[in-house]
Amino acid sequence: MNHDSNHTTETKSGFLTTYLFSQDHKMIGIQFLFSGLIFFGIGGLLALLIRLQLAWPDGNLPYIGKWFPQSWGGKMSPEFYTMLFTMHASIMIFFVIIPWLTGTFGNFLIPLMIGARDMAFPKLNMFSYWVMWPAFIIILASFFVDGGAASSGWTSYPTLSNVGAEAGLEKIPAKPGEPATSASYTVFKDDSFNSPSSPGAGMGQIFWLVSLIFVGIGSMMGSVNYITTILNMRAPGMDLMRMPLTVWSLFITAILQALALPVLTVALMLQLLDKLIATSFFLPPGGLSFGNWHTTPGGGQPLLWQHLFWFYSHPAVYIMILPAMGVVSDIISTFARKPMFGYKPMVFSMAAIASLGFIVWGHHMFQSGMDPRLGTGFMLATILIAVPSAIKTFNWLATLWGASILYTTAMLNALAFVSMFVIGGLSGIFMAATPVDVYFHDTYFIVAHIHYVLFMSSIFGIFAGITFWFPKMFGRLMNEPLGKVHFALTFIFGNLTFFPMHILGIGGHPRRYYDPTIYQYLENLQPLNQFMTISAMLLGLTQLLFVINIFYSLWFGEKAGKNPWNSNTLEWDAPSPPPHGNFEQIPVVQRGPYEYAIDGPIDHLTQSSPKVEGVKHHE
Amino acid sequence: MHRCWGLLFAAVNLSAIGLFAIAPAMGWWLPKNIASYGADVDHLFYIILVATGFFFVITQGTLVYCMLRFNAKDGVKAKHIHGNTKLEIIWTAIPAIILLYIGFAQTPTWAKMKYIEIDTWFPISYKGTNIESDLHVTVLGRQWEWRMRYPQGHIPADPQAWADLGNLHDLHMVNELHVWKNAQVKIHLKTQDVIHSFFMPNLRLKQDALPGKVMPMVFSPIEANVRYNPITRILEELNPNSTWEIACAELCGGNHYRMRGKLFVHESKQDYELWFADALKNQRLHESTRLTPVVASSTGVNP
Amino acid sequence: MIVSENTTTNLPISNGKLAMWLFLATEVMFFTGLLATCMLLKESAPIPGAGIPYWPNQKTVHVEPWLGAVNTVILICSSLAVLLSINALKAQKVSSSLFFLGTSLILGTVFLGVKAFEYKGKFAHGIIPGKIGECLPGMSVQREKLLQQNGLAYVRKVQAQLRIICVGITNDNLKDQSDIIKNAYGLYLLTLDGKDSQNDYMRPLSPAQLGEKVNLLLVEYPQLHLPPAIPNGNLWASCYFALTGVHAIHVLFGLAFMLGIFVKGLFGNMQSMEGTLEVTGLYWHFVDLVWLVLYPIIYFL
Ligand code: HEA
Ligand code: HEA
Ligand code: CUA
Ligand SMILES: [Cu+2]
Repeated sequence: MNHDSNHTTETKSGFLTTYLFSQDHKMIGIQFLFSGLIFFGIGGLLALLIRLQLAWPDGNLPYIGKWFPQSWGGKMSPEFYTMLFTMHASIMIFFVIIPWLTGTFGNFLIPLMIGARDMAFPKLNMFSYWVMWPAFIIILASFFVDGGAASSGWTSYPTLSNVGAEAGLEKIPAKPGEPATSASYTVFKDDSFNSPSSPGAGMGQIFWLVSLIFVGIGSMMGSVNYITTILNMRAPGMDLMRMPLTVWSLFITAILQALALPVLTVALMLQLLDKLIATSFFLPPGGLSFGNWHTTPGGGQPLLWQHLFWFYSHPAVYIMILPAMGVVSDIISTFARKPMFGYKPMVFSMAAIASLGFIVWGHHMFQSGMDPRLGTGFMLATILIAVPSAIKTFNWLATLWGASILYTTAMLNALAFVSMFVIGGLSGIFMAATPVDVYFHDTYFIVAHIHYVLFMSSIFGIFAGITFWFPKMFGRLMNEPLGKVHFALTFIFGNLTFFPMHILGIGGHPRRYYDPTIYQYLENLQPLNQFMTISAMLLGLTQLLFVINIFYSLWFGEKAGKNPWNSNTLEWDAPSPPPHGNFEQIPVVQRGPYEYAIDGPIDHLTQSSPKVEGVKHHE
Repeated sequence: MHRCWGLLFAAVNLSAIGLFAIAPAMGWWLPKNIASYGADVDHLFYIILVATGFFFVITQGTLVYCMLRFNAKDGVKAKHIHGNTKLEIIWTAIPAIILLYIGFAQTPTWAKMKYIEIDTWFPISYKGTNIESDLHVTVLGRQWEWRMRYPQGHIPADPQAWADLGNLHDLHMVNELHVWKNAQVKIHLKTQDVIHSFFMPNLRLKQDALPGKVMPMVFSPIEANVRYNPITRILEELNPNSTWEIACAELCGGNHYRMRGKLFVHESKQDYELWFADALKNQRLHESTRLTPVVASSTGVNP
Repeated sequence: MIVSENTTTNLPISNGKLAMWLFLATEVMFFTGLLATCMLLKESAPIPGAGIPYWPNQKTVHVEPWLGAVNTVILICSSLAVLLSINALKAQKVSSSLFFLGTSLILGTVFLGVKAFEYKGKFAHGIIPGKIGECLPGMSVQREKLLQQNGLAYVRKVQAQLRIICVGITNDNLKDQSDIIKNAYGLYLLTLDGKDSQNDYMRPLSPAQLGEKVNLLLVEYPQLHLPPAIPNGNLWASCYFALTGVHAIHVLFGLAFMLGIFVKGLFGNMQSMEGTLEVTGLYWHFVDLVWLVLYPIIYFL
């Protein structure tokens, strides 16, 4: 990476200030990009271990078997498996998708797309990346602590996650013939924070909680920064209703994050207190017993965690899709060479998704023991979210109708997003329906849904975005043929990996199972499991192409001009890569972002180009 | 070359449909339903399958069509259209109506499963119902097994108190749920450690056990799978492939996957009572010899 | 629309202020979440035996409303001082601005001091999460005895205290003692395992039973100073420390900001700090506001 040319304006910038302690929004975005990539690799490898276990649950794994301790018999232990999917999901969600979508795209694109020189608070921006580092270190360190990493699922439901051995009680057997007295019990004090419920619920869980609190602080700073920047730093003429949909999506996402995240922070903090100082927020009144271990009675409510957690985590799933929707909208319009169909409905539907998203969290809890009457309300609200989603889907399709489509890698990934989001969204309807969800809850149907919306949608959106803005980030285009091969293989293997999960779910295959084969009714589903594992391995290998493409293109990619895609938005007015301060002169915005296919001699009008005489177009 | 991409999308979507088409034939489908309300649940599942299938075909079809039809040709420009209000209204209203139908279609079955009654025409308002149960059982989840407790006479005088404290002459079992065909069963679900979820795929029923709470679960099986032979003291399967299993559906630690139970639906109440009497006798025997209360396991099918 | 360099639809307030308002919105969600949690836990707390209030009253947990009231006044004054400081600065009166800022700093510190004093009292009385003897329903005697570490710790505490009260007392010299000693000794015996009138084994009182007896005894003889059993005490302490602790941390941050401005001001840079001071003032008012909500909830509910 040679960026000296970027910083002509910044005279005394050394390596450290340029690459590490940079306050430049573009560099921070790029930092998020690469740290996300590393974590994508880690999360993906954990996923592959999950798949290995599922395909050959009783077999001793060849080669890999050697890595497991002798005491496990050359295979992974069930506890290790629970750790795998917990960390897989936590890493993918909190260290890959959210940093990529809001960190990379948010940082890199917002100032460029609204015509600002930087974020409103560059220093705060730097901190919002730097508080990620404690989070990175802690989450990675948690693999090596006593008892292993967190293993209560990414949802970390108490009481599995929050009982500490601190409150344990050990029984000293009474002498024969002697009645048990109070002296027969000693209070067992264990300073190592072991947990009787599962090994990973001790130190590993504490690390998990602390790490996520750091992520939360970072995201909170980020979202305050984004909202301020978007509200206050727009270039002249950049009305709210002229902002590209990417900016709109990031704006709405930032609002979601600002309002939902604090509630997660509360939940994380309370669970941490439960573990560290024996409060009883999530411990039930009666106390619990784990074999010989017994916990303190509290007066708390295990169910409360689920409410707090989902109050954040349901909006969070929209945090993980809305920016991808925005990115995809811009890319589709660019390569369809056609204005976005229904710009306003697109904006309003995003706002509708975001606001409805706050009142549907209970759909994760239909079977949790929540009042069944609440279930109906949550169901209706959830089902209604499909309406704005439908508006978005149909507008994308209408944009493509009568278009003049250029099949670039970015466009293909964006089209895959639309196709796959429909599949993922439709499976959500099954689960939203309460009676049907009684059966589907916690089966692989959910796992299929998760991966269709998160991997097959968000990640395709991210691939599209990275390919699209790579020339702006680094001044070079990504390799198209390699990108297309990567896309095609990901599309095929991704579907082969995740689509059969629907069928598994219909068969009643519960999720988070170390070994489903001990169940008779799941026996004939096992071939599917093996098939999915092989596909997943190939899917994983395919991702190497993406990594190779990025690093190859960084140095050897074709040099890109200012506007390689003939796109309209402001970032393409800046040089590639943009220097410190982005624009030679702050652009003046004349029109909306989607003026493609204009009648007359010109093909498209960028947002800042002056009015052309004799050309009819939409102002 | 451009066509390839449209065809790739078409192929992937067609294989998805194909998988759904062959799945039932391969036995990769809903397990046999034995619940009184189960047919309703399956019916709702199919309603949603049809509705989503319809939109799946429409949206993917349009996408593939556009991809095949509207690729860039030299000199041909796309149309400069920014939107169409009428269209927007149509494709907002149609899904909205279908979705509302789907939503309201769920409520009667939900009410049936949860034993609540819909109070007014508006399905969010319910009132509780008191059903007469023929059999009460408490199920206690713990890491990692289900402990069942059956009362003598099937119906304790004060079910709530009994679920909390139990009686001296209760029958204890591990991982075996015995009921009889067409019985109105009420399960009092508890846990002593973490959250578990009592999942009976054949009954289309699942309920989390919440620490500190007793969760009610009500169902009525419409098919039997075992008969008790009082002479050999063995549970005989009625037909070969009728093992009905109970799983744990909420992560509860490393051996979460091993909380496997079995559901035995006896042919009739009499049959159940024959089994119950023997099992209780068995338990007493053990108690007198071993001093500590033992959890009995019925002999027979796949211990 | 013809757009020139000067056309803007940006908001007419400064970035700093806007960001602080946004930050406060996240803070509102944070405190709402926390407060809602605590209120909900309180509402759904289990109800112990007849006649016992289900939520500790201020007496049993040694909360002094007047101390809280003092703190409220202090915090309001401090908020006011910041306001005056900002106004002074706007009127170019640097030294009086510094004076008011200093006052606000001192008041904030006093607030924390009072808080520390209150915490100390809690620690001294053992009102710490997870360490309070409870008597909650829903547990059979064996189960409770088996399950309650704290319960047992509580039993031991009461036992030890009673033993000191009853030194030298035996069944023989009991007759000559005062009523209060008689009662205490009777309770002491019940904490041990013994024999009943039929000479059968009798188990000692469970923590819950003991707690009930202690509470009854305290009504008659408060001078015994036994630790009362506090139903839902652990939950109360959990909420109390979470709410006040989080608020105290906010106060600490506010003080740090103000100290920073104050020090810079001392070195003659006060004029340039107007924007920062205004934003910090906004934050400080919010912290004050949160306390105004917390105060009645903690001290009176
Ligand atoms: C990016 C992430 C993302 C997104 C966008 C969504 C979107 C949706 N989700 Fe999903 N969801 C998750 C991520 C996401 N989800 C995750 C991670 C979990 C699991 C958490 C865990 O337990 O670990 C989960 C779990 C989950 C559950 C809980 C299941 C359970 O545990 O029992 C439910 C239940 O209602 C649900 C529903 C929905 C619905 C209705 C939508 C809707 O927004 C979808 C709307 C879109 C469409 C419907 C498609 C387009 C529309 C049309 C083409 C119009 C026509 C359609 C009709 C008329 C039907 N989701
Ligand atoms: C964004 C979210 C995301 C993503 C991308 C993925 C990706 C994948 N997931 Fe994940 N998954 C979840 C979110 C995600 N998952 C969640 C939320 C759960 C629920 C967890 C729970 O129950 O608590 C879950 C659970 C889950 C399960 C269920 C486990 C169980 O219930 O028992 C399975 C099983 O197959 C699985 C598989 C996979 C696979 C094969 C991939 C593959 O797509 C991964 C492919 C990628 C790679 C293989 C990495 C590629 C390699 C590189 C990029 C090279 C390395 C790079 C450098 C060196 C720089 N996942
Ligand atoms: Cu019990 Cu999972
Ligand atoms: Cu959700």
